Order: sequence, then structure tokens, then C-alpha cells
Amino acid sequence: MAKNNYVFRKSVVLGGPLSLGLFLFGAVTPALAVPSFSRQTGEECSACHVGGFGPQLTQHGRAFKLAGYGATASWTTPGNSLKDRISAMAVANYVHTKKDQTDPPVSGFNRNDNVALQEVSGFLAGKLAPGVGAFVQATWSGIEEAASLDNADIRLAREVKFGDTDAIVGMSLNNNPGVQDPWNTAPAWSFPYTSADLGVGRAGSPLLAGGLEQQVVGATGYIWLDDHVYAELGGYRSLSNNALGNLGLSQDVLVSGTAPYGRLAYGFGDGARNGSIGIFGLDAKLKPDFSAGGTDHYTDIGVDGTFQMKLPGKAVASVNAAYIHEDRTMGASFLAGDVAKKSGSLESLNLDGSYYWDRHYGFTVGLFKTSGSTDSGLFPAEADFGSRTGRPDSAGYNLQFDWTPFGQEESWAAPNANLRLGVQYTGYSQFNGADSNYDGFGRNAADNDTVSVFVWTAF
Amino acid sequence: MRTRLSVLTLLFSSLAFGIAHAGDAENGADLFDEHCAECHSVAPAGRNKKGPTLYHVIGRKAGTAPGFEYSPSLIATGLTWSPGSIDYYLIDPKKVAAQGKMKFDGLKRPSDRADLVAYLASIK
Repeated sequence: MAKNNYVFRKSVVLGGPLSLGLFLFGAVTPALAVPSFSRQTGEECSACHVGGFGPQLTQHGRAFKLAGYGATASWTTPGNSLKDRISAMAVANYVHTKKDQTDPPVSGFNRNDNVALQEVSGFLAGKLAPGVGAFVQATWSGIEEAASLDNADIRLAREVKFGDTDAIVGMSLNNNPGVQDPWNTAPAWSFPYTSADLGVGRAGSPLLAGGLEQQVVGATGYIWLDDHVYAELGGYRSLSNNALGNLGLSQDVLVSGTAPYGRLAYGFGDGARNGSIGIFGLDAKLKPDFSAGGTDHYTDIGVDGTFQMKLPGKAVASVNAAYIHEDRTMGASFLAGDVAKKSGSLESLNLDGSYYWDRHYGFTVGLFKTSGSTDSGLFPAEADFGSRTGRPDSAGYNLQFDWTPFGQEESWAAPNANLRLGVQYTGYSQFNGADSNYDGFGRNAADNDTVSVFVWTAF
Repeated sequence: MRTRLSVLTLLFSSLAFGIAHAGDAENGADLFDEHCAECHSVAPAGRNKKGPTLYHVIGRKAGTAPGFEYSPSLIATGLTWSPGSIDYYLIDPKKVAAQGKMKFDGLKRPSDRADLVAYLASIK
């Protein structure tokens, strides 16, 4: 996913040479609906997820999440034991890029045609107490062969009334700006929902697209008013080095003070046809040198929209779109000589449309485009991963076909097991600033075209 | 008083429903999938979801599906679910049970309601 790209940038900006292993480990992000939710509610996976498998949410699924993972009074909980809250997931894939990479992406793997057990995750997910719910994921990377805390979102939620108007008010304690968001336009939950860690990652993506994930802890308060208006405000602070170490993580980013985060959205329609429009933003000052006082300043502002429609044949069509603009002023990195320019900007656009039919089969098309100002210090030439032009500009598309044989009320092993099998193709028309010889070492954008076949299971 | 009026209206509605409509259960299945399936099961072993199971709902007294915690507002209607009472309820559920749990604006087209009722009645 897009998170790959940011970590590449961090390795440059922070002046601390991150290992490629860390780059890849930072990209481990897939998370989904977990059977523990299904055991808790008695509902099949397809009630909350398009295609019967996470993480693309239906309107019902968004309501479940906003209710603290079904922790408020109007949600029934037939499954109430602790073991009902425990789930696991595994992702394995085969990855082929059009041209071999210059070096194996990770020691022990090949330059191409890799098969990997990409990740195995355990979850504590669901209602923990009246008004309290959680989605906490710990992940073992089969590529790094290490375990750490992954996505975490612990919520307090309560149903209230303002006159005749229903509302949910809540609070989220989480470790990744946007992981608490109920729409699949937030970078933490946007398409592609799984991607190959052993592919070639692009340079440059906004800080909101995974730049702070698992490095911070944030508290946000939110309100979901009359099933229409969503407003959220909060802030994020860095976890201490000791805390990160205890969670199996190392410090990649240090936030100076508190980084404010905000979100405003309007949702409309019902379960059969619904949509949303919204804005979101993050303002963060990062300390590139962990021991000194200078900061780099990032301001991300995004707009997004969704539409989802049920169709005859147990089909669902969905469209998600998000645009993020980032301004950066990198005073500290500029003084340290790590970047060529003191300020710059970055823009990213992601669109996807999916059609799922018979609740089992899905086809998704995604388009992505990243562009930004030139900075040869930030985006230097480097074989495969670098930029000859000093630009982060990339563009391309994703195609995915998948089959989810279970996930329904009367499926085999329901609600204790689910499975998605898929094939995904990523094509590039531009990569890190050029279509040909983009890295200064003779590699073309199309050389990174990637085919991935994946097996994704949850139980 | 309001509940009594609703019940009277339901009685007339039930009679009218019996005379006027023969729904299309196949279309009703699609409507159920679009509007109801996320919260209601119709499977023989159907569990209660966010809403109660609707397996064999015809003839059941409102608010009595085992294991489901109903709102007092729905229980107070005293309804028994017949094709007519379901049809009337689905016009505007909040009008029948003002403090009911179900968040659904209703099906406004009579033919849609008839099709949905036909589908519910067809589940054996």
C-alpha cells in the first residue's frame, strides 16, 4: 500500500538510514473484519463488509464501528465471552514484477517471483464492556520475522439524544491518524486493501498516508449526529522510545508536541444507497534529529467522497475518492543538509470503484496519482527505489479480482472462518518522476508492473 | 390512545392488504437483501442480529423472538405480525413504534411492501 512510499521518504528526511527491512516492515498493514465481530453480533461478515470480507465497510459496518464496535446499547451481543473477542488472520502471496529488482528486496528472498507468508496477526476485537470497544492488532511479519503492535483503536461510545435527534458521541484512543475513520477513503483503509510488501515501493506520499502509523498515540473525540454529520477532533503525540520498544517497534518518527487532527464529513442515504463527502487534516511538526530541537512542519489537508449502491443479484457497487494536499517546511532537515529545498508540496489522488456480485465475487479498479515539487535531497537517485529527477511523481492503476467463498450466514464454519483469494495487477505509467530511466539506473516505470496472487484468511 | 388508533388502522389495513395485493416473492427477496438482511436473518437457524430473526415471522406476536431485547415501544403495540400489519408497519416504522429500535425510514411503494411480505411469507 501507499505506506511503503512514505517510509522511503522518512529514511531520507530523518537522516537516519533505515534498513530496507524496516521499510518493508513498516508496510505491513492489512487489517480487516474479524470473525470476532461476527461472533459478537450474530451477523455475517457481509452485513458490515462489501463482498463479505474486510475492510470495505457497508453503511451498517460504519455504524458498528462508530458505536464502539457494537458497544452501545442498541447493539445486541449474543457472543459475550472473551474468546469471542479473539481472532487471527494470515496473508500469503506470490509476487512477480515485470523486471527483476536489482537486489533481493530482503535477505533470504529472490529478486523476483517471491512467495511469502506476509503476515500473521492476532486481534482483540469487539465490545469489551458497555460503551467500550476495541480493535487491537498484533502482527508477525513473515518477511521480517518479527512481531509488533499493529493497528490499535480503543473506543468509548454512547448513544445520546439532542431533542429528537439521535447521536453517537465517542472517543478513540488509537495509534495511526485515520485508523479510526469509518470511510474507506482514509489512507489507513483505502484500496488496495492488501498489497505485496516485496514489490517496489514508490517514493513520496503524504504524512497522513501511514507516516505516523504505530509511532504515535492519539486521542480524538467524535460525534455522529442524526446519521448524517460526522465531526472529529483530537491530537497525536509520539510514543516514547521505551514504549515503542516494548511494543516491538523502533522509533522512526518523533513528533514535536501534539499534532492536531480533524475530520468533518456528511453522510447521506440508507443501507441500499448511501454516500459521503468530507474533509480531513493533520498538522505535525517532526524532529528529524531525535536529539536536537529543530523541526520539519507538515500540513496535510484532504477531501474525500464515497458512494455505495446495492443492486439486484446481491450485488454492491462502490466508489471511493480521496485527494490530499501536503505542504512541508523542512527547516531542520534543510539546515542539516538532508533536503535540497526548505519547502515543498505533495499531492496524492486515489480513486477506486468496485463491483461485488452474489456476495462472493468482486472486481475493483483503482487509479492513483502522486505529484510534488522537486527535491533531489528528499528523492535522490537510487537503483529501483530512487528518483533521477528528484521528483515523487507516480501514476498508475490497480486491478483486482477476488473470490470470497464464505462470509455468509450459512457459510461453512461461519462465523469462525473466512477466506479471500485474489489476483491483483498494478501497472505504472510514471514512477518516481519519469516513465523511463526513472531511477537513473536504467529502470522504467513499467518494469515495476506487478502481479500478486494472494490468500487472505481470518478465523 | 395513539396505540389504539394505530391498531384500528392496522385492522383496516390488514383487510385492505388481503384484498388488494399478491406480492412477487422473488422481487421481495431482492428488497430484503437491499434493506433488511444486514440486521435480520431469515435462515431456519437464524440468529438474532441487530434486529430479531424474521424466520417464520408471520403469526408471531411482536416483541417475542427469543433472546432479543425489544424496545418497550414495540412490545406495547400488542401487534401480531400478519401480512397486513407488516405492510402497515413498513410504511413508517416509527409511526407504529415511536421509540422502537429499528432505524428504517420505511418502504413507501405499496408494491414493494407487498413483495417483501410475500417473500417473508414464502420462507418455510
